[in-house]
Amino acid sequence: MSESTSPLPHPIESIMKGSRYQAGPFWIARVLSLIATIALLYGFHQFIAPKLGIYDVRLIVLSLLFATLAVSLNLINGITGQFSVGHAAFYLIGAITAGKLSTTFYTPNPGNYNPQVWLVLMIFAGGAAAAIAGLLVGLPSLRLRGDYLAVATLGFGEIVNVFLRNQDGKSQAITLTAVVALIAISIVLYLYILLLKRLPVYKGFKGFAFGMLKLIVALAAMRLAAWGVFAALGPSLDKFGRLDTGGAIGLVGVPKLTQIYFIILLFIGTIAISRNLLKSAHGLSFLAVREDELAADATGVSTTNVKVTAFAIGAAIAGMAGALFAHYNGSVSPDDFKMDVSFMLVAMVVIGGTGSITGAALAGIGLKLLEEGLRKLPQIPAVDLFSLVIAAIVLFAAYRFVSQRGWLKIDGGLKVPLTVLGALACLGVGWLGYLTTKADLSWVLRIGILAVLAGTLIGLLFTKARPAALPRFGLFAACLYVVTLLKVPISSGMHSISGIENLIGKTMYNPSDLRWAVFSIALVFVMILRSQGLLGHHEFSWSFVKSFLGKRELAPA
Amino acid sequence: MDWGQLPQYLVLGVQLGAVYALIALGYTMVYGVLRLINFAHGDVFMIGAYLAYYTSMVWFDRHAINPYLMLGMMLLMAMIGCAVLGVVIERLAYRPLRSAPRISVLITAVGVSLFIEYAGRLVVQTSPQPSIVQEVNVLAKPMNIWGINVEQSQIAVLAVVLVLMGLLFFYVTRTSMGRAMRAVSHDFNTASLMGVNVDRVVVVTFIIGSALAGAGGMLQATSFGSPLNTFYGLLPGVKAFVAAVLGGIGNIPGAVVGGLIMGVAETAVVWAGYAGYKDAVAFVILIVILLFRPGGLFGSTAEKV
Repeated sequence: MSESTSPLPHPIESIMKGSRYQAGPFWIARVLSLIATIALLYGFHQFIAPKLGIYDVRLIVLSLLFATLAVSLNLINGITGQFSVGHAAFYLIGAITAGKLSTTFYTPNPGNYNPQVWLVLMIFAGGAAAAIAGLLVGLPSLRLRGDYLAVATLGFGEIVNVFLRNQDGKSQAITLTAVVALIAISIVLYLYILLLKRLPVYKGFKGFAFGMLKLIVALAAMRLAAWGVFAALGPSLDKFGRLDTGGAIGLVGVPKLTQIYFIILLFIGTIAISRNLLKSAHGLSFLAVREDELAADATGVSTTNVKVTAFAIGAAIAGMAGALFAHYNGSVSPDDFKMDVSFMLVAMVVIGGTGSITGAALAGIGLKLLEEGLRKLPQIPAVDLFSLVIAAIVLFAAYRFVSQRGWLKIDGGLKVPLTVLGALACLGVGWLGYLTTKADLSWVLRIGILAVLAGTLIGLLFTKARPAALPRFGLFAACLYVVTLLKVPISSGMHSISGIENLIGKTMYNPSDLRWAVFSIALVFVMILRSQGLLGHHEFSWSFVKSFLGKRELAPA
Repeated sequence: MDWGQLPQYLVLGVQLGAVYALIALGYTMVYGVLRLINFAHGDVFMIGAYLAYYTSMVWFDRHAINPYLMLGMMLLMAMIGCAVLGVVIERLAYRPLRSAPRISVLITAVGVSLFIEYAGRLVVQTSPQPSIVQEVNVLAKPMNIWGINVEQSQIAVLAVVLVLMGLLFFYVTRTSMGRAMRAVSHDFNTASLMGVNVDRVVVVTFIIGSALAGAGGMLQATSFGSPLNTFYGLLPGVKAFVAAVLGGIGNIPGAVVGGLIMGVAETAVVWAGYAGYKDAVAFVILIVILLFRPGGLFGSTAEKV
């Protein structure tokens, strides 16, 4: 490629001064680490995997798959800076392609193919299908930036989902001919966009008329392409009939071939691809596009190539993950790949720190584990939830109150770990209290609230804090008291309203709703407290760990 | 594909599009001022529908109240409640992130949206029956105009939307706060240096946008029979954003025209016999418009992409 020899633009040089881009370890170390990885994998497969329960296996599989997806999305979102919110679509395309091929051509017991070989084939098939889709989505990215690209990719994800939802082999499903026509139309569109860059730009009414003319020409060209495909392929392809991927229910009966080590291998491979890409000249051109597209273009980086490549690679990996998911889960339903999955993946990338491979992987595993772990939330009676909310508000206020006076001041780099430990300890104590007195959570919380209030009051009285804070504290306590009093009239007087009755009554909450509510609060809090993501732009390295623990300062990135 | 039915579907489409237009107005204003796709906007719309529902539940049994007055009450309650909700969201979630990267704010918006949806489901577990909301609607009398069934309520919806749009247009172009809003939209930092109280402008923007979404929620709940649930606002919200992009972000009449086009396109797809694809058509329109006229129909093409 030509850009490998071109001089590097300014932003890249500044990035290269960071610790990330220094030369890697010697090849001996690499070979050793490769051998160690294989040995570990083998040991895991032989000794640990058979002893795992079904739920544990599911946790591992899902968290690793989502980490893989997050790292692959990081390639598009974080490294190339193209804001894509349609990653679930690539995942879905890979899953449905591989699943459909397997249900059609693979017969288990006795299998007509070696299962491992077949699975590898399917992984590549899913990856290839998703990569084609990624190429197609890369096209709008040539013209769009920022939020507009985000909305376009969101739309693409939703189109794929709605499209597959309708492919049940019945009246509203489309034929394979139409799929081929769609691809032909996209290619025409691609060529047209390339052509468009060379056309002059007008302003005012002339520009409007010229734009309309361009639109009409484009539509005519696409119609012609579609007509050509139908004329050429229509009769011969008709015997395949309409597409059938099970409609909204999805594919069922996909052979369950996936072993955990396939997923671990894909995960490691994805990280290796991202990392090695970042160390190559190509990777630097990806970063250049993220930092300043205009400057990158001016220095000879082909921004078109970079963007489309990023989309294709990211999509291919997502498709592979989808193929593995299909062969793990045994069924593929469009419901599992909706908008919220895409948002979840973007959240993983952002929370991990945009552009950080380590961050994306860790956040992928962590968020998925959190999401699944919250499944074990108990069903909490409504009144207790009410007091829980009050307790949370009180605790937060008390924390603000204390920390603003510097009582919790911790020096040096140990601040973050200690704060996290403290929060975890608080949570643990609360949890223990709940488990030991399962009978009535609200009493635990009431005592807890009183203890916090009393402690804060005593702290105020017996320290040199400004006595001026006392009236505000009194007002706060009074407000709290009024809120707790409000519970009675609400619960007695508003039973005529059916929804509000549920709020107050002794009903149990649906754990799944509670899970998502807690999860979303966690998301917002992480963003507010650390909007750069947990790791920022940093990658994993021992010096980073040391600086995290306060040993020494990081080199400025 | 029955050509005789087409006008009927167009009327439905205009009604649907009018609601999209109301949501799109809020999107356009918030995006114009903060450059933030407020994904929680659709959920504010949902809360508006619920507020209208609860208002009607409280008043419906006491037949003393004039039904027209009650419709007005429902609209007012939905708008006020949503305005308060919008301010709370802005204060708690978006203001701490004013200087953060935009992608972080976007994730926060998604988090807020998820929170409203699922925490809302904790509050309203039994899904309320939508029939009462429709019963309340005394305007749902069909009239026959040139062989097309048009309900009074459909005319009322369009009238409410046009009146609100007119008021908003007047507010933004003729008052000092509107001028401040346009200044902030044009250049956030310079406006704050020139003595514009940016925080206040943002709060006012959220109040207006959320109130409009609440009005949309009330209109939707009283005129369409689909049952209320907390995901009621998810797809309308996204489609309304598409409508705002279609009309040109920051352009008030553009948002209304975009919403109407979106509604008509959706019912046209249903009319053509592809009801299964009706949720996809909005995004097809979006991608086509972004490719060929990225600034939207009425927006400027410069620097929008």
